[in-house]
Amino acid sequence: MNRPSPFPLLLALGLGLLVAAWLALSSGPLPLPAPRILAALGLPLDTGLQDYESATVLQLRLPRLVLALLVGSTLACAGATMQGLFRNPLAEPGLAGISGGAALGAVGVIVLGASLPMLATERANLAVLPLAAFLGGSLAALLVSGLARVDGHTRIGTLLLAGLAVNAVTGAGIGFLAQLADDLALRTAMFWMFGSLGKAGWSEIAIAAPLLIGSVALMIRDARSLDALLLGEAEAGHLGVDVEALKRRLLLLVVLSVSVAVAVSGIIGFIGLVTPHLIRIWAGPGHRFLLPASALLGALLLTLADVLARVLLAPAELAIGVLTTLIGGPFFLVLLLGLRRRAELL
Amino acid sequence: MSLRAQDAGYDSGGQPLLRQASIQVEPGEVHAILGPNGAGKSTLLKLLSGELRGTRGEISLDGRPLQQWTPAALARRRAVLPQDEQLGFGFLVEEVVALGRLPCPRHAAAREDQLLREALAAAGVATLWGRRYTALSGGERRRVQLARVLAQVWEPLSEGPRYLLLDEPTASLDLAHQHASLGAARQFALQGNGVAVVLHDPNLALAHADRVTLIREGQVAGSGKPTEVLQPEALRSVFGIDAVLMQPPGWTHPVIATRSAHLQFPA
Repeated sequence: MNRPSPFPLLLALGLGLLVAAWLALSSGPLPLPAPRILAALGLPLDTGLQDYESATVLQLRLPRLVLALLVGSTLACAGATMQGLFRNPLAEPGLAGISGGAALGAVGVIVLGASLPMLATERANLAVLPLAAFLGGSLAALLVSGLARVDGHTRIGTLLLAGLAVNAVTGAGIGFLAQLADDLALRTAMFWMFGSLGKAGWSEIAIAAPLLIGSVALMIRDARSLDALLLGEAEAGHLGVDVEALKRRLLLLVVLSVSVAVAVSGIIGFIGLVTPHLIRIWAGPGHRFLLPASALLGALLLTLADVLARVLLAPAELAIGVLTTLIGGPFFLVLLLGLRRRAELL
Repeated sequence: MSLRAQDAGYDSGGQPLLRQASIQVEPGEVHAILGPNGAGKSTLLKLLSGELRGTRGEISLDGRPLQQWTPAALARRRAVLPQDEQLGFGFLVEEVVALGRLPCPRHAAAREDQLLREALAAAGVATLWGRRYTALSGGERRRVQLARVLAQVWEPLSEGPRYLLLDEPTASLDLAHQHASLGAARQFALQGNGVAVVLHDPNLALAHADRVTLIREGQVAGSGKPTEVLQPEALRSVFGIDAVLMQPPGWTHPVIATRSAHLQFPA
């Protein structure tokens, strides 16, 4: 047996991304013919493009697409990195309590912020919300990784257990806050908890994009060390990898990127869990291909999911986290059954 | 020029896993470490590899204490085969061996490919190329791991000799492959490199080692040529067994037969 060449997969991913991007730009309540979309994007076409049509593409659909690409690639790459770090294909950023902590921070600001005069304005809320999510995610991750640190070593098993406990607590905290909330705050909070790519505009993207792209690039840079880590921590050390520094660095990158992703789009589950599995089936567990390919496939999957979320219940919008979990959950079960039969961790 | 532990000791939770041991792994030699379970053989190997930092004593490679080596520089000079492995992801066999090349300068793809094939052949598993690692038997996995550590220190270095630290490389191998694996270690030593290998079978040490160190209760109980160290009295005091040393006609080395010292057979 030989690995199939990676190029067809990369080609397919590239083409798929183009198709998905086009679907994302062309679907919505306002029907727009293809030439007008292209004209709105800046191509010199004379199509009689109206201002409101141009604004629909540039201010609504394009930022949403860019956000889907950024968040999808980040979640998938962070998931793959975490699975390598934990040497466990069931690991996910959500498991370390990051997503839960971030969501709790956001919901806390939404619910409690209503009673604080300085947070009452729409504008202040917009600025504070992502920050609170980021702080919540970082705090949860700090707590979890702090609990898992024994004698200067991060214990992966303890870290998973601590993440489990933190997730339970943040879940209860969100439930408690939801009880306190009035109807409007509750609806906003729910929307946040189940994710949406429609909340953030260009200003949020301008802040998030460098952080997300930078984190993903730095994760990919450590791909070969992650490969060595799959052999075991001692073995990676024998291969010249500074294991403790690697673990610290990658955990920080995962926490940072996932918190930022939750801050701009809420909790979107299963992309980080399922995407790396799909890549491994084709190309094996080597991270030099796994990480960049997961980033591409994650971007593709989240873009498609967002198109579905907007189309399925139109004109209403399905929360994208609900959709990814609806599709990802059963899919993951099928994967698990397959794994059980093959007695390996893929 | 040697890999050396000087009065090395290691405590864990107040209990000494290794009291005080000195060992010198010389280039060109296969140095076997024998001793009962829990005597401290693996601990000694972990101190030699730098995986554990000793509580007492000093470990040095070519006269330089291990702490002064960067992990990357150390990885170029010595490879370590641990007692057990935990690789659960579905790599192909050659991908596992390629992991050993991480600290090495990269050659062109064709040369790297050839190098992996040579390492697999040296470990006697050339035919496993292309197989899925997780689908292999325990003994096959063991030999692929041996190929991985061989690949790590495959190429001669101008800096000095290379070292292999093998913790029970013969565990779960059949008889022929036990000898073949130690034969690969011997080949490596013949190129002017040093090998430290933890073994359980004194016959393997007699057949393949240039030097033997016996460890008992965290201390060295004897060190020297295999035929001198592995004498019946020493084996009785270290392992508590009856042993007879015999010289098969035409063989270059003697063999040992053992039985329980407590067994009383009816006359």
